[in-house]
Amino acid sequence: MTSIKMPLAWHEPDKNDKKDPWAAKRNDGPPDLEKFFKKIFAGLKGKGPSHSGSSHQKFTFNLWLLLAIIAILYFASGIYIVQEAERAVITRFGKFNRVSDPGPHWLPPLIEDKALVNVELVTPIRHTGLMLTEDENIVSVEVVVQYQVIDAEHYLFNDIDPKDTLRQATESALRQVIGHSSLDDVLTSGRARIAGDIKAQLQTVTNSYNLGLQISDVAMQPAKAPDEVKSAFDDVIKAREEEVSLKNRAEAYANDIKTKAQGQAERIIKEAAAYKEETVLNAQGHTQRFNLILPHYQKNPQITLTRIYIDAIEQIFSTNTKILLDVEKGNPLLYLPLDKIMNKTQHSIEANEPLYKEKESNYNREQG
Amino acid sequence: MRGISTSLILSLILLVGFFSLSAYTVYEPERAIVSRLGKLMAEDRQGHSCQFLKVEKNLSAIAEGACKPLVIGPGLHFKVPLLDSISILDSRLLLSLVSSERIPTKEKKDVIVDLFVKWRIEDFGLFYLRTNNQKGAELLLKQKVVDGLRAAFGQRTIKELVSGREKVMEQLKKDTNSNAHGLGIEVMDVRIKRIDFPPEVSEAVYKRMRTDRETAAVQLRANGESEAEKIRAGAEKEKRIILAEANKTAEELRGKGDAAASEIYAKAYSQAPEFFEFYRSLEAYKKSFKGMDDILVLEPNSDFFKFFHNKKLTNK
Repeated sequence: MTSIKMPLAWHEPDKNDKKDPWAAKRNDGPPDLEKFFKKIFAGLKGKGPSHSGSSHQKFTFNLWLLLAIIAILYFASGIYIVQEAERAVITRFGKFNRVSDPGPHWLPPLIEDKALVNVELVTPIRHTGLMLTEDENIVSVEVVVQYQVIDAEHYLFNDIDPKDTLRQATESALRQVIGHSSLDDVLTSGRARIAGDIKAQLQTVTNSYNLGLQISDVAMQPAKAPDEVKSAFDDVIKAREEEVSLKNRAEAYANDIKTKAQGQAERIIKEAAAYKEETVLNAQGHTQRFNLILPHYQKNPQITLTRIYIDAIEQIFSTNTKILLDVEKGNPLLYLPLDKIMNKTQHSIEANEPLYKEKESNYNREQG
Repeated sequence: MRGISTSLILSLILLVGFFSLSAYTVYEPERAIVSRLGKLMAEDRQGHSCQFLKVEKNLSAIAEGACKPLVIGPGLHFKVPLLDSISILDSRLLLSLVSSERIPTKEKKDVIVDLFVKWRIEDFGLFYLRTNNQKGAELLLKQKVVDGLRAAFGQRTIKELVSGREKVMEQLKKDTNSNAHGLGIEVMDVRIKRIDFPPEVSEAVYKRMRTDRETAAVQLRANGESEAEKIRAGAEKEKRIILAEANKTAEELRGKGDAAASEIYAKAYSQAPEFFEFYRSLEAYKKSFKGMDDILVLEPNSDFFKFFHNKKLTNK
């Protein structure tokens, strides 16, 4: 036998309730002894009348043998072993007597009975459900409570069903603690605190009920919004991410234009510096050239002037389109096919136009 | 010899039979009440058996225990066969569930409440007498709890109930106990498991939660855009400042260049201003009229064309 059967809470054996597992046993308590005597009596009778005189010796011998066998069997059936993780609760005639530690033991059968309880095994209880938070929101929470038996006697005899009691208490504690927390707390930062509160409350309850249990751990799974509002909650998460991504994009843009502006600034300054150097050098160049011609001018002013003038005009005329009008005054109606002449230049204007448009559209984009 | 052994065996059988009829075992979490020919066995404080008055209505008299029903603890016991009958009661903590009661609160909203009651038999004699059996006792107990629940919930709002259920549970335990004592019951604990809205109210709550979340989402997005705009504007401001500063430096540099150049030019050209004017003008003309795009419409009366209409030659 591995466990003492828990009796029902109410018995009326007088009514001969057939469903009562103890009714039969209770009346049978001593009957084993009765059977034993009946057996002896039957053996005596069966072997009895026909050759009673000659078999008297044999009968006595048989009786003692039978008694010895029964004694050995009785003794042997009382041996039991308690495993390392277990404790055996021993009752004598139904009354609690002692708790045996791991190892081999013996008890007198029929007089004493035992129940083995595992005191090391950590058992989980899971509770999940929708519940109300302090701010009247509904949230879906799951909690796993782990417990072990620490007092086998209390575990067996103090509560009708310690496991169910703990399960009910878990539900109660979970809902109570969630009822004291706001939705945001439950969904985000408050998980550890909630688990701690539940554990403390459950331990208080199990102690006050004397269940013989110890709460080893309470773990709260991440809470979820109920399915009915899940999409709205997901949207908030999405919105939060969008917020961050908007900011990130703006940061990227900011870094981009700032870095580029620094480059541009550098270019502006470099160009100006170049201009400065260039201007000075040009001035030096020009003046150098001027200074070199000047002595010749001073020596021969008229010739130098004329030469320079003619050189310059020659250069200009040789590279330009020109129309020479040798007309007397008073003849202003002169036809000049300027448009035809201009046609030659048209190509370059057309080539320039799209470039200008592109620039304009670039400008508009920046404005927008 | 044979007669002696037969009578010995017979008397043994009788003994065993009597033993088996009279012995009974009470197992550990149980207690037994014995009634002899319908009358409860009882004892007074000194442990002498006495006449227990079943008709006694005065609770306090029973409580004071002048003559209390005999409660048999666990162990092997004997009774008088045929005359005595025993009733077994459970001494453990029992659990009764009260499930899904619809109860109105102060603001006339219904809530669904689940709770459980932990109780045990405190006075076995009284319990045996006052209740039909455990089921009957449970029914009475549940009724008391639900009555208490209605009273307590009617005085409180949902918010007070959800986050203040400890007070309600304490009150319920006290109220139920005062009634239960009369049944020989001790209520250890009344614990509310669930306070929920009925489905139609839940739907409204969900709707509110959704709009709450939508508001939050809109807020977050607006925040994001506003932050982004701030960042962009700040960056653009910085860009403009950087460029303006660069332009400032650039103008300064150009100015310095121009100034230096002016000085150089002035120094050189002041040696022969009229020649400079002529020389520089011609340089400018050369630069201005460059390429075939320009059309010059000329009259040949400049110095350049001085010899174009050579009167001396054409007149001849």
